[in-house]
Amino acid sequence: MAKDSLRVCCLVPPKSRGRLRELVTDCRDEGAVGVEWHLVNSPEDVIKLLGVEPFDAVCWDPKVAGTDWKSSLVGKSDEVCWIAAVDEYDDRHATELLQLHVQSVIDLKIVSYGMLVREVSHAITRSRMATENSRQNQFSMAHRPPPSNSDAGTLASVLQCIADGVVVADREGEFVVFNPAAEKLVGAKPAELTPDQWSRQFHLFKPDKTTLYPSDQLPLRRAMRGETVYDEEMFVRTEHSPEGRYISVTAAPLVDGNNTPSGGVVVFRDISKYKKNEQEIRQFNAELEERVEERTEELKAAIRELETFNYSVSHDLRSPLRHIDGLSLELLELLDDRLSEQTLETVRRIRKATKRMAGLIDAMLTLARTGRSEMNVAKVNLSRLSQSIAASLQSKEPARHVEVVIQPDLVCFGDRDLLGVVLENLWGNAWKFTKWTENPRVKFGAEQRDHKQIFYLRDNGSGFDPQFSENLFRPFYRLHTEDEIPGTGVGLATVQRIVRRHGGEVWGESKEEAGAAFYFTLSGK
Amino acid sequence: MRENLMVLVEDEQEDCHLTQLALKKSGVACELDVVHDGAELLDYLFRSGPYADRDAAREPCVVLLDLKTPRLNGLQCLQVLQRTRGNDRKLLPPIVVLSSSDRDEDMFEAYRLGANGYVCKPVDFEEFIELIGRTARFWVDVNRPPPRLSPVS
Repeated sequence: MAKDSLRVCCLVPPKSRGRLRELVTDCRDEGAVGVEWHLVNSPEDVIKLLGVEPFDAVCWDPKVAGTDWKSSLVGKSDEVCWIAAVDEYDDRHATELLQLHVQSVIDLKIVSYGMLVREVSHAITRSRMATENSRQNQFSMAHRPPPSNSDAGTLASVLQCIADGVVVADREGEFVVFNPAAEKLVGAKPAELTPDQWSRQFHLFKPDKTTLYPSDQLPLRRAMRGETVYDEEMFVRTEHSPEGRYISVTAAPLVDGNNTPSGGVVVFRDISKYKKNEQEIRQFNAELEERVEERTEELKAAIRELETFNYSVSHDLRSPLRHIDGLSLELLELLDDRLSEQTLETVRRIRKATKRMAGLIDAMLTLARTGRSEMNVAKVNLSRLSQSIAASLQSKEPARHVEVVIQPDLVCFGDRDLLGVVLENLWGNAWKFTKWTENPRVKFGAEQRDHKQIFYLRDNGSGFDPQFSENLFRPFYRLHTEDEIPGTGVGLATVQRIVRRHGGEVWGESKEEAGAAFYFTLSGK
Repeated sequence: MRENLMVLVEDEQEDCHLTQLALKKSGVACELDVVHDGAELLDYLFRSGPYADRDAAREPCVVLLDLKTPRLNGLQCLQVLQRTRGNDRKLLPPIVVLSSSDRDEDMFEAYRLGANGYVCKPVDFEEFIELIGRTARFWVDVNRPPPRLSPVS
């Protein structure tokens, strides 16, 4: 025989019949090469022979030669590939065989001698590869019996390649399944181990990393008592990863046919990465919060500085203005009757300029205050507010007749004082810009656009050139000279600031000489 | 008897000048002593330092106090006076703040520290004349000042 042919010990009891015996006795000289059959008569012979000579595989028909003797060999002679050749193949049988650490099952019904030889040599090759891949894997069944789609085979493959650790224990706490992922996570299982040693053996800790997990509280133990445990967090340290890992553990009881507990299954996975990410996120958030606090402090300081500046503006700039005004008036007195009309006019202009500047300073301060004063949000009746503003404008210029139209009961939510400033400015503008109009008319109302209420104030006054409509809201921007229309240029900027603080927007529409309309929205109910 | 006398605490030359002018133009018959800061006011009121020899007969009926004065400013000055008042049996004249600030914070602080009134200076001089006139008239003609000595003593 060729040196590299495979040595297979084949158990065929002499009195037995069966396909295996037929195949190996009648046909082994048919010329198929590669397998050297050694026929033996009894299981004892098999054990004896294995102790003396090296074999690549043992092949037998469990239905003919039984399985009891194989059970006693589990854990021994694992370097040999165990092949069950069965006449009648079914899945339940296959499962039983796989638990006996049989590496391959061959369905004899459908094989010829040549095919048998091929299957045997394949099984041996696979078995060797599996052994190499995972030295201590007792449950290595990369092979699924080719003729049938065995559930057990599928299960074995799944257990082999799944990333989660899977361990099954019977009711005595003997491990029935201990897949490679489990080994990787908690280390290999030693030959003899009582359930009370599990925590110490596998270095299982509480998430605090220091408290050893009480063995009788382990999820698998609880599962063996009939409990189901979901996503229990644990910490595990092994020789391979002394820094340790967090695992998430889920366990469930196993029950047998009579519905009595027969053990437990536990599935666990490495969640160190998530824990690390989680911790990083938490730390990042904390840092972020700290930074926000810092920035807020900086901003608060900046605002305080601005407030101080505003105060200086109001106090320090106003004083010299007061002086100019007072002194120019005194000048008039000192000159007494030596005054010409021209001198009088000059002094009048000086005093007008000082007043204008004082007005600008006040407007600027109002603008600054509207930006940061506290808001008292309540229901505000804009129609009634408009009514009183229009009445006061009218009373200041009793000679003028302006037709005022106000849509009744327009209500919104906002700060009454601030919205009053908005309406005062808009009404004031409408009043001013209709002074050359023959039949002046100002209308306050609201319309719906895209489910939004839009308030408007429309006049038939002089209007403005639409190309400047963007500029209208810039502070100190004016479209008219002081002599034409008096004003500070801060009114609409103030309006915009207040409207925006209410979450709304304001814009103006006009055609020159065809009146102007100002629209604003206020968000919130 | 208290005189028709007011004390103005004001460091700015123009303000002193214009306040005097306004008072004169308002037509209220009243004298005006001027001190330039809070510390000087304390000397004035307690007759110490340069005011040690101040005429005992002349006692102001009101102090017009500017808030922004050098050394001891208006609010600090009020604070000192408030502390002194408790252990002095001699009463001080009323103190009215005369400032160009209309900030709520300033008004709140001034009253909290015991100011008896608060008047905002307008930019328009004619308005100022009117205001000084009305203020002086009230404190000089209308208001009854505290008695010079405690009636208990």
